[in-house]
Amino acid sequence: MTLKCFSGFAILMVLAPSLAFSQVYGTAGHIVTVKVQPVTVLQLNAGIVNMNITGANAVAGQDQMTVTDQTTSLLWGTNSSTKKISVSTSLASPLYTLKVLAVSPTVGTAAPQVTLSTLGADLLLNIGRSSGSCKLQYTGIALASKGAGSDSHTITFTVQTQ
Amino acid sequence: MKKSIFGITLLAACVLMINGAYAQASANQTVNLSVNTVYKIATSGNPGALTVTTGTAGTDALTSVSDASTTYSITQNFGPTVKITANLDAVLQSGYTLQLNLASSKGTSAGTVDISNTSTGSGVSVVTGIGMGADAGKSITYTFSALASAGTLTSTTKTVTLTLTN
Amino acid sequence: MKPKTQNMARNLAGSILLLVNLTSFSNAQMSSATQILTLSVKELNAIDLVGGEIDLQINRVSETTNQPLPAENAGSRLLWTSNGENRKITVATNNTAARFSLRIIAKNVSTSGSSATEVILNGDAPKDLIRSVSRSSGSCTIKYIAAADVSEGTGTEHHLVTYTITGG
Repeated sequence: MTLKCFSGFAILMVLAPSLAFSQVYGTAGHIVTVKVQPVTVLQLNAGIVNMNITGANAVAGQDQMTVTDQTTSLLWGTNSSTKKISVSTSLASPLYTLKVLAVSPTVGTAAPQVTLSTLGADLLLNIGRSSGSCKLQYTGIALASKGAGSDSHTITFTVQTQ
Repeated sequence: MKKSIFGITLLAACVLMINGAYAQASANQTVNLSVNTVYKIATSGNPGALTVTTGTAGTDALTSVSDASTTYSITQNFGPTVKITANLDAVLQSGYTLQLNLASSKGTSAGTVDISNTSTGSGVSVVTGIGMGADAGKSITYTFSALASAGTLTSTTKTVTLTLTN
Repeated sequence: MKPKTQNMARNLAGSILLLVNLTSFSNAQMSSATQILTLSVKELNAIDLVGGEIDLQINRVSETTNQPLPAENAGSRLLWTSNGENRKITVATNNTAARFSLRIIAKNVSTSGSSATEVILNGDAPKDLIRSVSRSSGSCTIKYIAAADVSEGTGTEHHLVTYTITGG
C-alpha cells in the first residue's frame, strides 16, 4: 500500500511543475531529481493466533501431539535487492515446540520449516525488489510427557539483507 | 504562495511516507499455544473367540483358554496418577470367569484381574500409576474359564471397556 | 440476615458451585476403548480310570458251602466331569461269553450322580453304573467281584471293561 502511494507521489512530483506553470506563456526548464529511498514494508493480516492441543490432536500410543494453523498471511514489499525475511520468537524457554513455514510465497523461496527460537532464522529468501505474500503455517508440537500448559510467543518477522 | 504551500505539503507527505515504510520493516504477531489435558486409549482390535472345550475328569474347573492377540496404546499428559480400569457391559453368569491382564511400561500392572463381576460404572483397576507420555502396543491377555457345574455356554458376546482416567 | 453475613453466604455458595463444576470437569477427563469378546463353553465329557490292570484270583473255598469264595478288588477309582445335562456312566465288557461271573459296584460316589447298586457284566449291552450325572465332576471307587461255581470248573478269562459317559 505504501509503495503504491510512494509511486503516485513520484509521478505527481514529475507532473506538478508543468501543472503549476501551465498558465505561463513561454518555456523554462529545470532539473528534477527523483530519489527513491530503500523502502520496505511488512504486514501481517492477524495480530493473534491461538492454537490449542486437545485430545483430538492426540493419537493413543504417540507422545507427540501436533496442531497447525494457517490463518495468517504475511505481506511484504521492498525495492531493495537481495532481501530475505527472518523470524524469531520472544519466548526463550518454551514448554512446547513451535514451528513456522512460509507456504506458497508469490515471490521468493520458502526456507525449510523453522523451529522458532530467540535467534532469528530464515523464513523466506530472495524477495528482492518485489511485493508479495505467503501464508504462514504454524505447527505447535507438544509431548504428552511434558504435561499440560501454555506458551505465549511474540513472533517477530524482519526483512533483512540476504 | 500557492506554490510554496503545495511544495511543503508534498515534502511533508514524502517524509512521513518514507518513515512509515521503514517502520514496517518488521512485524510482530502473538501466537498462543495451549495444551489441554489429554487422555487417549485405543486397542488394536477384538480378540479371537474364547471357547472352552476341554476339561480333566474329576475336576469341576474346566481347562481355561487365553487370548493375547490384541494390544492397547495410551497417551496422557495429566500426571502420574492416571490409571486404566476395565469393566464388562454386564456381569458374567456365575460359574464363568473372565480375567484380564494388561502389560504396562509406564505404570504398574495389577497382573491378572478378574473382571467377571464388573459392569458399566463398576470397573476395576488393571493398571495404576501411569506416568505422563505414551505407551504403545502393550499386550492384552484374556483368560476365560468355566466350571463344569455351570454347564455349557452358547456363543455370547461381551463388551470390555478399558478406560484411561485419573 | 446482616449484609455481611449475606455476602459471606453468597461467596460460600459460589465456591461450592465452582467446586461442583470443577469436580464434574475432572471426572469428564477420560478416554475409553472397547473390545468385543465372544465367549462359549462347548459340551464336554471327560472320564478317566485310575488304577492299573486288575487281577482277581478265586482260590479259596467256603467251609460252610464248599463253594469257591468270590475274589474282590476295590483298587480302582473312576473320575468324570461333564457339563452336559442328564448324562450317565455305563460299563461294558468285551467278553461276551464269560463263564465266570464279574460284578461291579460303584462305591463312595462323590458329589452327584446316583449309583446302581450292582452291575453284572455278562457281555450284553452296556449297563448303567452311575445315573443322573449333570453339570458335575465326581469320582467313585470301583469294586470288582468275581465269582465262580464249582460246576464252572477252572480257567482264566479276560475282560476289557469300558466305562462311557453317555446320554441319560
